[in-house]
Amino acid sequence: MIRSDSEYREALVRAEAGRAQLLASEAELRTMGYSPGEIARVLAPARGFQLKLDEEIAGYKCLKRGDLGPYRDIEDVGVLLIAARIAAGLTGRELAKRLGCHESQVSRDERNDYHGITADRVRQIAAAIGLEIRLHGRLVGRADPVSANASS
Amino acid sequence: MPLTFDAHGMLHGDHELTIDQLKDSLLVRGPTPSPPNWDAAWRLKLVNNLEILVKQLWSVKIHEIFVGGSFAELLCEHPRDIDGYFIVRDYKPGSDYATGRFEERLNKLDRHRVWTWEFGRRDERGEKQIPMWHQYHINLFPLTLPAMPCGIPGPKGELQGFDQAFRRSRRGWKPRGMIQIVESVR
Repeated sequence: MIRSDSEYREALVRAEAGRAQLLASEAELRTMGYSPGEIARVLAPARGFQLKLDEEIAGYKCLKRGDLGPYRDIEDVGVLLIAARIAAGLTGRELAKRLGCHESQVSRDERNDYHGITADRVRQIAAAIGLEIRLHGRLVGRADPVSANASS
Repeated sequence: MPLTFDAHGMLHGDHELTIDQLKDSLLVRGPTPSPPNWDAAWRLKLVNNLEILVKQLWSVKIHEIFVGGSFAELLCEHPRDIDGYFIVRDYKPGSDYATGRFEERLNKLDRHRVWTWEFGRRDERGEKQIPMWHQYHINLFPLTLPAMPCGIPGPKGELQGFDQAFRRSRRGWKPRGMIQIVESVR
C-alpha cells in the first residue's frame, strides 16, 4: 500500500521501469525459443508484481480523490484508518501532531495495520482524521435486514 | 552468529537456520525487552505454515530457500506474511519449471494446490495475492538463475531479482538480512 506522495512518485518510476523490463524479458525469452505458455509461466511472478504495483498506484490516486473504497470486515479497520489519513490529505507527521504522539508511533502503527488497536484508539484516530465510522452487523445465516428492508 | 536487529530495526546479515531454530529465534520470540505488541504466537504460526511449504520444496529437491521480508523487521510486530524465494537453476525451454510440471509436482503435495504464481483473489486491502498467501500467509517466489526481473524494480527503477528485492525494506530501502532455511545444522 502506497502511503505518501513520495512513495507514489517513486512507484511511478518503478512501474514504468518494470513495464520496460517485462517487455525486454518477454522478447529475450521469445528469442531463446520459449513457447508463449512457457513465457507466461516464467514471467508470472514479475507480471503479478507489476500488476500489484499498478493497482497500488491506482488505489493511491483514488484515496487522494477521497474515495476510501470498500472495507467490509472489522479486521479492515486498521487499513481503513490508513486510507482515511491519505484521503484526508494528512501526512503521518500531521496525524501524529493531532494525536499528540511522535510521528514514529503513527509510522509503527501503520506498518502493523494498527493490529490490536482498541475501540477507543480507533475513535481517537478517526476523530483526528475527521472520519466517521459506522458498524453494521448481521447474524450468521440470517438475511440482511437492511438489504431486505431496502428491497421491500 | 546470533540473530540481531541493526540500528534501523532490520535483521542484520544473512543466516542459515533450520525450521526448528527459526521457531526458537529472535524473529519469533522477539527481543528482550519485547516491543509492546510483538506477536510471537502469530509469528510462530507463520513459521509453522512456512514449514509445510518448505518440506514440499525439499520433496522436489529444492534446497536453496531464503525467507525474510517484513518478518525480519523489529518494527513489524505483526507481519502480514513471510516473504521469500527459492532458487530454480533450470528454467530453459522444455524444463519442468517452464512447462509447469514443477508446479504440478508441488501441487500434488499440497491439498490446497497453492503452487502457482498467478495473482488472483484479493485480500482485505483489495490487493491481489497468490493462493499461497491466502492459505498460509507465506509468499515463496521462484528466483530463476540467471535472474529474470522479479517485477519489483529498485528505488530508481533498476532491475532486481527477488534476492535483491527482499534484501531491502520497502520503505527507506534499508538493507535487511535473510534466513536461508537448511534441513540440518551444518
